Amino acid sequence: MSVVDKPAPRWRPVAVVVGVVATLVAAVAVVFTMGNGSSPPAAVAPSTTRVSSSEASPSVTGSHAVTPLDIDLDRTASYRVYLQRGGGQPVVFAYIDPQRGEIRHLDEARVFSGRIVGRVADRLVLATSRIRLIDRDFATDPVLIDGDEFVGTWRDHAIVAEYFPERTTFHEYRVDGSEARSVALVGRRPDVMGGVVGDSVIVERAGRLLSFGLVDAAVRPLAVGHLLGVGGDRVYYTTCTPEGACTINEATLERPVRTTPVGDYVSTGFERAFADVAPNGLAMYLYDYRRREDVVLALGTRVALPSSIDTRSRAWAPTGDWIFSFEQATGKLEAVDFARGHIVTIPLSSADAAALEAIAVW
Amino acid sequence: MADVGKRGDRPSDREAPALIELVMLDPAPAPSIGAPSATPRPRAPRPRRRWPPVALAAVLAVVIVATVLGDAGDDGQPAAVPVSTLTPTSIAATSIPATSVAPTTAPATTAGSPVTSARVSLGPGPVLGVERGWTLVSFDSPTLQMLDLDTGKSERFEFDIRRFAGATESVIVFSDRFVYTQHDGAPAVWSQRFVDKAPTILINDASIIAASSDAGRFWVALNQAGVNGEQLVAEVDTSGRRHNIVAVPLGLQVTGASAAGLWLRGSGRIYHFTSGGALQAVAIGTTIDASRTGVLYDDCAIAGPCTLRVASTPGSQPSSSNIGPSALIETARPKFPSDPAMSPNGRWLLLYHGVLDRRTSDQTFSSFLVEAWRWSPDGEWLFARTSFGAIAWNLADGRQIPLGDLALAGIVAVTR
Repeated sequence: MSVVDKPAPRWRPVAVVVGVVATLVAAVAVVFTMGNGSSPPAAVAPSTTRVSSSEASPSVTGSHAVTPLDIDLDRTASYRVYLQRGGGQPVVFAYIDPQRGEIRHLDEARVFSGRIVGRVADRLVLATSRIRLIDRDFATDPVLIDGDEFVGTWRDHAIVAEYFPERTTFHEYRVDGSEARSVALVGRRPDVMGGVVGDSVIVERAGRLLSFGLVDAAVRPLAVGHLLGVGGDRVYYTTCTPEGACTINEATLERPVRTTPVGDYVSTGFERAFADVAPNGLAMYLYDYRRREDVVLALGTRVALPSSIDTRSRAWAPTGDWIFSFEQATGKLEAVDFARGHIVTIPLSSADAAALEAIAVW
Repeated sequence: MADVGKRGDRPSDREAPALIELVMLDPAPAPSIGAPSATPRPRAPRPRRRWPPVALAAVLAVVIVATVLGDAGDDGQPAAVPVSTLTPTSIAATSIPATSVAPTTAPATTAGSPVTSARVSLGPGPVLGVERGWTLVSFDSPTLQMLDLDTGKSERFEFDIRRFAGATESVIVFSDRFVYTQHDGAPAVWSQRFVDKAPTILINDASIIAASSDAGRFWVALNQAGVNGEQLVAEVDTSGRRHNIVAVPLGLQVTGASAAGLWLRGSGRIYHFTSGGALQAVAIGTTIDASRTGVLYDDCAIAGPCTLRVASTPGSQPSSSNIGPSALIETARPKFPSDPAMSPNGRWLLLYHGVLDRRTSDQTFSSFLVEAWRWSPDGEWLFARTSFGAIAWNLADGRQIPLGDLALAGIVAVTR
């Protein structure tokens, strides 16, 4: 075969293409070199999850970037502090493990949007327009369950309310998403959905507190009042006597345990007190309108929170002894041991602080 | 970390269209001096054919550089995404010492004067068919309209639009003036005559709650707290004189005026509070509507459906009466400040899509939505702003009379 007759080699256009590509890549490399100094683009961490260079360098374990935290938090805690960004559609981008003393950044490819509204056994409950259960490490795909609102945990099962015009159905789901059973409360939707106490769901409807049995589906009146919240075996509510004397009541399903005059905790001219009950039911956050300070009522004892704490974005630790709060303007995250008056500032990278929009502790 | 991947992907994303263009150019290159024949000459070099793609690549490279540098801003750094900064809000200051001030004339510079006066085309003679002695007043800041329902004559006043900012919700109209709360700093109650040039201040450190059942009076909440922090509430007249001052217990909230005082609610209970300060619990439930006739509330059975009921002023009527199933009766909720849904005579209950006659329990459905309304003093006429315009609606015989271009955003029927 003569040289002349030899077919045109195919590598020529390929070589041209390769050359062009190489030119483009070189151009892009030049651009990034000029724009970011000497850092290659692939090495630049995303602004929302990067740990600043002034802090400990993260090590990567699996899909999580782990950074040790030098903080004196509850080392016996089994809960985590989840850091969320995204405002209306929050996404967990990292979590703090007090027990391990570290912060773990999640693989962005494995995150799911939704507010963390509770924990069922070893699963977290994510709520958007739908409710999903997902493992605490976000390692597996979430399980979708039907219903409108997560109510609480009962016997390691999730209780989810589904609203109909004249009926509210409470579904009981196992952690794998399968439904164990359901019971229905007749009548319009409750005004306030409290949560699970003992074997009952506590609701407020038209000025009455009701307990609805998850075992026997029986409705029992608890009190006349406004429900503030539930936790552990306690129910907190405001109530007024026919003579107009109003109190904050702490009660079990059987009887009131203690009462506190409502006076300081309602704004003049308004009937509602706003409270945040600790998950273990032994304490409750309130605002004192007379002294203009944040307080905790713990077993009847009033404890003023340090004025430096921004409590507008806060979350109780499940153990009820720490309150986590962050200041959205600065992203400063703090934990307050209200009983000891001890404040721990949790060091966050500037990127984490800028991204932080909500916290959840479960 | 997904973001890292995206950044890494960007360059190759940008290369993709360039490669496609090169592939398209290569089989059909632009005519050049180095391409004399269409016959393939495999080994013959075609140096000039390399230049178009290379030049294109160079151009693309320049474009990429220019684009990225353009995004980078002056300092060469990638354009930063602004960080959301929320300014902390503080709890508003509450109690400020109350001071009762004699009626004072406001500076003339804040006042506006009537600019127009005209008849509407509702025809001569009584608009409603017979003379009732009623004048319909509509205030939709900054415009006030008065319609004499006996003659059809209308007058229109324009005020300084800056004066009533945020005040419309509180306006209560009387026969010759209206009162309103100004929230410029500490709240204060002002009075504006229809034809005067300047408003006068009636009460400092107070805000309007509701019209009183006593003609010519209204209820205000004083900023000054009681001995134990209670809310002090006063019944005052249009000259600013206080007739009754009562202390509302902490945890209770005023919901409206009754025939003999106020309706209150607190933690599920509904109370009647007389002008003399006597408190009486009258029901348990959720308050829907409060009026001189009674308080409309939702009463739910422990395990079952809910019922709409009316609790009347103690001593005047049966203390509580049944309206019907809450699920089937959707009470009207105003879009603009309005009268209660219950008529002054207690016969009619305005619904979202009609009216309920409590005498017969019949519901009359309307083809329009009622956005704001005022009852006639006898309770038989409803003057309403609807989705189809302003109307006078006789609920007994069903007549609906258009009221022209009357705004009816804040209206009242008054006797002369």
